[in-house]
Parts: sequence; structure tokens; C-alpha cells
Amino acid sequence: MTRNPLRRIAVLFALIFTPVFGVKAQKAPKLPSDLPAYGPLKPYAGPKVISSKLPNGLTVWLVPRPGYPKVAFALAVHGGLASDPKDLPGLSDVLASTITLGTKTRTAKQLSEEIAAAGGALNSRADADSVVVSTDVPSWKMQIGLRLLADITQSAAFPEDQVALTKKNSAEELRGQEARSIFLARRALAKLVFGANPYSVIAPTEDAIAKISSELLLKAYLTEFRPDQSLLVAVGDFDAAEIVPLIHEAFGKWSGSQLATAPVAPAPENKVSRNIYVVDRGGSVQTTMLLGSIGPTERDANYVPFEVSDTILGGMASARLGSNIREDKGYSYGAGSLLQTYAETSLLYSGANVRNAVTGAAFNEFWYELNRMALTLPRPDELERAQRHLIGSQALRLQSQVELANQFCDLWSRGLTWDTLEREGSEILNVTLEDAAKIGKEYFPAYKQTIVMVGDKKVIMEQMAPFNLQIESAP
Amino acid sequence: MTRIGICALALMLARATVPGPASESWKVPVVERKLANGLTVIVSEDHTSPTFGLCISYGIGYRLEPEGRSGFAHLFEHFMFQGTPNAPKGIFSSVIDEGGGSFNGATRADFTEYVDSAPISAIDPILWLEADRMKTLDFSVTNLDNQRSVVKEEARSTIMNQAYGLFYAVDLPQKAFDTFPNNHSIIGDFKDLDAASIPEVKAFYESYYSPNNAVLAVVGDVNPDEVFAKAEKYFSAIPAVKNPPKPDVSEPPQTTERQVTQEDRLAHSPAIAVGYRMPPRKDRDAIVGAVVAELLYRGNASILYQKLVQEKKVAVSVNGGVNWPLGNQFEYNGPTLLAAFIVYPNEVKESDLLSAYDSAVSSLAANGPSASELDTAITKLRSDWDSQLEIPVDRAEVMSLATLFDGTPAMVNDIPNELESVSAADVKQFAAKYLAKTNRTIINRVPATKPAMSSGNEKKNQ
Repeated sequence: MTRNPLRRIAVLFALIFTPVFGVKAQKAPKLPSDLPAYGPLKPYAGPKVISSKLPNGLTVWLVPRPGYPKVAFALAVHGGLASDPKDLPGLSDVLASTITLGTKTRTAKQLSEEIAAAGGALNSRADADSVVVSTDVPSWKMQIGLRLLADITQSAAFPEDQVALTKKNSAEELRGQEARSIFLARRALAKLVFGANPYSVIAPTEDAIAKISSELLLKAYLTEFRPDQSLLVAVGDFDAAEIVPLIHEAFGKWSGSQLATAPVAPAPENKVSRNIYVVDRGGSVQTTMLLGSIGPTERDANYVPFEVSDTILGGMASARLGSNIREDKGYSYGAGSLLQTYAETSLLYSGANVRNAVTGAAFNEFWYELNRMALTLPRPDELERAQRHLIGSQALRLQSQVELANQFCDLWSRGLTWDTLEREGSEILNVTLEDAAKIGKEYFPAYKQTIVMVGDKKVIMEQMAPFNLQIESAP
Repeated sequence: MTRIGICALALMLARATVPGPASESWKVPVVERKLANGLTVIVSEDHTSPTFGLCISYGIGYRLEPEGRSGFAHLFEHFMFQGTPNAPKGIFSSVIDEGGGSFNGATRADFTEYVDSAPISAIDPILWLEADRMKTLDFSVTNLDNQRSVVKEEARSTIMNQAYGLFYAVDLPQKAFDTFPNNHSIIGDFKDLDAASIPEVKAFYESYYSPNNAVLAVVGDVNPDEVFAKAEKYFSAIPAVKNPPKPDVSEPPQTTERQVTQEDRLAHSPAIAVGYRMPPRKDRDAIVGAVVAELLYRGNASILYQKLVQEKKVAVSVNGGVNWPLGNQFEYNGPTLLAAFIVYPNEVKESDLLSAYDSAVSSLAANGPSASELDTAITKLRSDWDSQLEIPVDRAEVMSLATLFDGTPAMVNDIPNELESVSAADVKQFAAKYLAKTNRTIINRVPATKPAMSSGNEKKNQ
């Protein structure tokens, strides 16, 4: 069980492997006669946001929420993995790891001690379209949290000893990631689906890590960290009147550089080939399979019906993939699908870890379930369940201050505003069976998926032979 | 920061508190009631979100499963999701999904818990489903066979096909403890899983899954009287049963340091796991252990991160805690470890890592923490404790488990004061007593030189 809100990507990937349980038959389940009914479904109501802009251009979204006595702060900048220079893939990842390790006036040790003494921690992450630094502290320490956040966003120093240590540890971490089958599968899939588009990078390469220096980090930092390209979110137990002067004090003097802003990734094309791309991981007891294809952007009218269709396929416990592959066949601990959203595209994945001996059989079920989405209408009860599930899960995710602050950063980095959640909530309820059928036909056919398998190559070759698909090594 | 002694008994007995304005002593409301059949119901009202979370914990964990049936408690947890005569397989997940909710289960040494979260509009059907599976289950061979496969896939996904294979959680207790209850793994042996039969599944259910061996906690957009009325409505007809007596799970004392080396065919960098046997749950030293874990292992301000990663550069990462990682410092009720997982670079020798490690730990035992180190550790622990209580389902879990172990949820609001009562002298004394080499087990896990047949391949016992 996950207790603390994790990084977005970690949450997305946990979904694939989270236990799922479901119906075996392909007909509507008959409910017990004495099962009480649900109460009335309330359409999703997004949090009330006080939005403003500082004179230096910094956008500020405040969500006062009394009760739980903490405040979550997150500051997002445009940039991130898709904006990194071509010869330095993953630079943003190293930037996120080093930005909290020293400023003009504080050492790494001082920063970590000061924030811990305020009951918090400094977090940072690089995503495809943004870099986010954040912290959450008890309300009575919010000034300390804000000051430290302001210090690292305005005066990060990338000290050479810390950069050297981080480079060494990043290289180790990369080797650690490369020991994980899901990482290898994701990395290969992103390369195959996105090709030359910058969204193909999900992590730094060893070569890029070796090239990175304090100087290069500082240059990227000055390009991306500037008030007119940044959003500050505060969620929690505060009075707006009380926090606004503190924000002005901490961020009002931030001027930022005049360098050209970070480039934005172009929209990628969907590249498909009828191959199975294999990452050989000798001695694996399981095959990790991922099937992926490009979907609409969040601004597209197709996005919400796409999200609903993904939920029917594999986005909830009782969805088709888990019901079939886990509950009916017992091939996997968890089979599912998820939707990863970028500023200029989205990526639908379905996948599972399955034991070697059922690699072919499990693949057959994925193929079948994707085509079923493409060729047949969902049942009305499936559609309604997916709609209600999406609206309810949104309410659950926003229970956490940290999660809400992070979601707002993600929306903003994709060019959207805070009211998107509420708008999408009402659009979810309007999706019809016909919408789902249209989306299914367009995005879900099995032949439109790029297929990656990570495992013992010999096993995969044998298991996949009956499908008559070309088997190649993944890039 | 003020230091207050262990809270008064009066506070322990408090039945209800209300949240005050934001201050340094945040308290959450707690109301409890016991139904006639022995089911304890805990309610904490919180209207921040239009949602609720619940946790039903049962007083049965893998520590109590019989020898020859390792992994049984966990296999059984899976079985709880396989349907009942009233709500056949698939209904449970469909109803919760459609209610906008999510659910999960977890098996640990001393409990098995079931958690659900959803918008408040789904509270009635979800309580009905939880009560339904407390009455009886669909004891079918097909379901058992299917979940046997799923559990084996779980073991492959989380352990056998992963670098390090959770050795600091799975292997460390097996080396550190000497008796079956404490030194077998949660997933169990595949041959034991294969041997499990339907009559055993049924007998296990009838012995332990009863209202008088369970605690239901509900947190969120609710009011206590309504929840008690619903609990009465859905659960009161389930009869109490006589649960088997709790066996003795104590351990013979450890007298010498234990060291093991293992090979890992998937990891690229070596790592060590270090485990120290901890005092019992309600011992005064237990809370000191939580502070020591924070000081040593947690976060970039911790002593070992600073010493091993930053200063000596003999480690890449440091993680650890009491009853970690399959639980936290308050969720155990039998022998447990203060465990650490430290990854180190290939070019560093294990002996150099250990000597840097030992010197940092000896210094804590000899000198204790500085005033600011201790203040920081306690502030961070208190702040993290509040975080555990933010989200309804997390708070429900904390309350349910506290009540299962202590008979009262009072701990939820007492922990901050208990943490504040820990002094530098306590830490020093604890480190000298419990962080002794004779009280520890170390596994050194090194990348295999050639491919082996399983994830973890033990080389030698020293």
C-alpha cells in the first residue's frame, strides 16, 4: 500500500502492478438484492483557487484549506526533459537532483538541516514538460518553507563537489534502474514511439551524465528558473491575507535572466511497426510486456472520452485487463493500462509482468482486449462504472495537499488552468457509448500498438513464434 | 521546544477530542464504541473532502501461520477478494469502482488489514461488502488455485525478478531471528502454498475472521452517530467466535553478530542490510528507537547520509527504520528489527563501508546526539506523524491498528508527546544497548559474477 503521495510517474507505474480484481464474465454483474444503493453522485467540485500574478510575472495559485495544519508549496517552471539540449539527454534530471544541494548562501547540509528542523524536506523532480521543487511544512513554519524554496529557485549554486557526487550517484542510480525490467520497457517504448521527438527521453544516459558540469547546470537553471515562466502553488492551512506578504517578501525581488526561454517539444507522430522489440534480460523469471501508442493532447475534445475508454480497458480494479489476465487466467499479479499526459501529446500503455511460460498466452489476451475495445461497444454498465470511478478517484487524489499542489503544477506545465479538473469532471459524465466506440476504433486497435518485451530472449522467441510477428532487439 | 513526560493516564482514557486551531499540538477527533459481538468501531470526523476512508484490521498476521504453511496468511488475504455466496467474485471490485473508490489489502507480521477509500456517497454499499465478507466466503477450489498463481506472480514481480529482491525486508529477518514465527517470509514457500487446502482455508477463516478479532475505523466526511448506526446495521448480526490463544512468539536472545553474503544476479551495485533486534512495542525504549532511526537513517540531514554518502563517499544511498520497510515504527506487536538498506559503489570495499558506519554509530552511543540534531529529528517525526493522519484512509489505518494492538486508539494523539519526551541521554543509552554488534545481523549482497538460477543465491554463512 502506498501511504505517501509519490511522484506522478511512480504512481502511474504502480498502477500497472497494483493488485486488481474483477469480473470474469463479459456480462453485467448481477448485484446482490440487499446491497444498499449509492448516495447521489455529486459532480466533482474542484478546489477554490485565488490566482494572482506578482509584478515580476510569477503566477501564484493559492488554495486555503483549514484543518490539517500544514502547507504544501510547489514551484514549477517550464522546461524539463523534453527541453534538454539534444546532446545532453536527461540534463533536467540531474538539475532536479542538484538544485537542492547548495545556494549562494547555504550549503547542501544547511539546506537539509534547516528544512528538517521545520519538519519538512525539499523535493524536486524533472518531468517531460517541467521541473518542480516543493516542500510541505507545518503551518507555523510556512515562512521557513517559503524562504528555502525561494532561495533554491533564485540562488541555486550547483557547487562543484555536490555536482561531482550527484553525477557519480546518478550513474549508479541509472545502473540500478537498468536492473529493473519496467524501466527498460518504458525506456525502449518511449524511444520507439517518439523516435526523434524529445519526449523519447525518460532518463539521462551515462554519456550525458559524464558530460554534465556545474556550468551547464547553471546555464539550464538560468534559462528555466525565471518568474515569468514559473508557477507557485500553496495549498493548506493558511489565511490568504497572511501568506501573500510572505510570498512577496520571498519572491518579489526575483528578476530572473533574459535568456531565451526553454524550447517546447513539438507534437510527435505515432510511429508503429508490426514488430516485437525485445530487451534481453537473461535469467528473468518473468516477461514484462508493454503495448503503447500515442493519444490526444489534454486540450483535444477526444481526451476525456479517451480517458474513460482507458479506464474501461485497464484503469480500474474491475477493468477488462485485470479481470481477464489476473482474475480469470492467473497469469499476472496485475495487468492494467494507464494514460501518461504530456503538454503536446499523451501515451497509452497497457502491460503486465507475466511468468515466462504464459508470455504468449498473456500477449494473446492483450491483443484480444485491445481489439475488443476497437471493434465493439462497451456495455452501458462498464461505461457508467468508468465515469463514476474517474470522478471519485479525482476526489480521492485531491484529499492530499501535496498531491493537489503537484497536480496543479502538472496542469499548468501542460498549458492548462486549475479549473480543468472541474471541467473534465463534467465532461466525463457526458461521454456516450458512441464516443467510446469512436475512440476505441481510432486509438485502441492492437495493430496500432508498439510492443516491447523485457525478459529472457530465448523464452520470448519461443513463446511469440506462433504470432508470426517480426522480433527485433529494442533500441 | 518543551519536553513533556509521557502523557498522563487521563489522556490515554480520553474518548473524544476535537480539533483546535492550527497550533503545534494538532489533535484529531476520535470516538470509539464496541458492538455486542465484540467489533470495535472507531470514528474520526473530518469534513475537509467529501470522501471517507476505512480500515478493518484483523488480529492475524503471518507470524501466527503454522509451520509448513508459510505464506498462508497472505494467500488468505487474496482469498478475501474472491467473492462470497451473496456477492460472487467480481462484485466487490465492481461496486467499489463504480462508487468512485479504491481498495487494497495487506498482510503483515501481526495483522491483516483491508482498506477502502471512496466518495462519501459510496459508504453504505462498501460497509455492506465488508460485513458480507466477514460472514462467509465462497470457498471454491478454483478461486484458491487462481490466487495461488497470482501470489506466485506477486513473488516473481516483487522479489524474484527484482534487483536486491527486497532482501532487507525478506531475508534479513530470516537471518536475524531463530524461531519459525519470526524467521519465515510473508510470501512463503511455493511448496507450502501448493499444499494449502480448502479445509485449511475455511478453518483459518473461522478461527480468526470474526468481529471480536477485528477493528473497524472510519474517517472522513461522516458523523460518529451515523457511522455507529451503520456499523450496527451491517455488522451486528455476525456472531463472535472464540479465537485461538495467542502463541508465544518470543525469541531466544541474540549473543553474537551474524554476517551473511549473498549474490544478486540482477543488481549492478553491492548493498548491505543491517538489522538490530528492537525492544517490545510498549517498552519505553521503543519510542527512543523511532528517534534513533530518524537520526541515523532518514533523509539528507541524517547522520549516516551525511557521513557515508556526503563525507566519506562510501555509499550511494541510505534508508531504514524500525519495522521497515513493511510497516512503520508503531505497527508491530512482536520481535522486530531496526533495519537499514545501504547501496554502495562497486569500487568500495564492504569493510571500508562498515568501518565508516561503525564509527558513526559508536559516536552516537558515546556522545549522544547534539541538541539541534535531536530537536530536528523529533520535529520531523512529529511532522511526519501528522502526515500519516491527513488522508482519511491513512488515518483509519493508524487508528485501527493502534486499537487492535493497544485496545484503544489513544496513541494517535499521544505520539507527539511521547516523541517530545525523548532526551539525548535516552538516545545515548539506547544506542549503547541496542546498536551493539552482538545485537545485529548484516547481509552483504553483491552482484553475481555469473548468472545464477534464482534472484538471491547465498554464498556462505560466516
